[in-house]
Amino acid sequence: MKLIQPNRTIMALAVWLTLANSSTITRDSSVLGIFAGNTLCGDIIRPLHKISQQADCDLVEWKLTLYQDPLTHKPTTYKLTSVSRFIEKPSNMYSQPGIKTETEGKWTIVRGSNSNPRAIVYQLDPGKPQISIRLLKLGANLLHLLYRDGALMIGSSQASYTLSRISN
Amino acid sequence: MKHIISSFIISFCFFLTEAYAQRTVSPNLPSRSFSTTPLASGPSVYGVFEGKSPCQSIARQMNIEVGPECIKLKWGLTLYHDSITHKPTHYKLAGTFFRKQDREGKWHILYGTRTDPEAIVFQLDLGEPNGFLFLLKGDDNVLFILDKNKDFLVGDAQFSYTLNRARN
Repeated sequence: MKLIQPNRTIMALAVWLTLANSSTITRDSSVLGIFAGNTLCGDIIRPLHKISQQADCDLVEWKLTLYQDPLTHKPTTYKLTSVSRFIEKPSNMYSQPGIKTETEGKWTIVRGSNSNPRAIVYQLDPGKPQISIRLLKLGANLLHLLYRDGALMIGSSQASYTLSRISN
Repeated sequence: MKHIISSFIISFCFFLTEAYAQRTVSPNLPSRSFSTTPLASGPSVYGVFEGKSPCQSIARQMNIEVGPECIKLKWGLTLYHDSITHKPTHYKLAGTFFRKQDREGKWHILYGTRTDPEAIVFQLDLGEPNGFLFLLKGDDNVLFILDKNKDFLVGDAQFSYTLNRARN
């Protein structure tokens, strides 16, 4: 009787285990998406990131996780992790390690922007109405911050106010 | 004496009103450009837009060969229009891909994308082999670089495909 070579046995077992695991991997349906981006430190976003208006800040690194009800897909809560940095002199490099903050709150979907009454807008509510902010849903994978008057926030040559989906 | 006091009170009221107006004026304005040369201005200039974007996807789209070390691109786009009719005329495109010489050509306004029939899209004729560059007009101050199908390009955690109006 020919013995089965142990290497082939191990390979077959590995393949079987991989296939078995892949069939059980499911997308977390409680997460609508994770959006990230580097933005400027505009005045209306500072309170959301717990950055004072007087603080030296030139860049904010966002990681925004939007949660939803897994059954109804209605918005529930968000988690925002950010790192703020300023430009150090004379190197003109961004400060390291930056200041990290984490905030949470609820979010809702509202309708309408300045240019489009049918636009889908996500509103983040951190518990204080005066510091809630709105993001225009450009597409399934892009969000853009809106100013108080509903206009798109204007970035610069260095950074914009667009967040991109980095994960589901 | 009464006249002097009345005049003072009225003047003080105007001062308070002006001060309040200044605080509530939206600072969501175009940023100063870091360009070492003055930006184009005047009635024949529709606008100057700047930004940084990821590199690889747009390089492929424009048939520009880049190495894996290309992580980001700088963009400086000047759009000109007829000073009377405001119809698009020509553009100048500067940035990482055009360090030796700005790319120049004609641009046009198109209407509609797959998902938004009312979208305003700027088409820049880059010539061969680069093809066309499509930009969605978010509003007067923000443009979004699109792919060849006029769909949004999705950025990453650092950069997006957003260009912002700049000023001197």
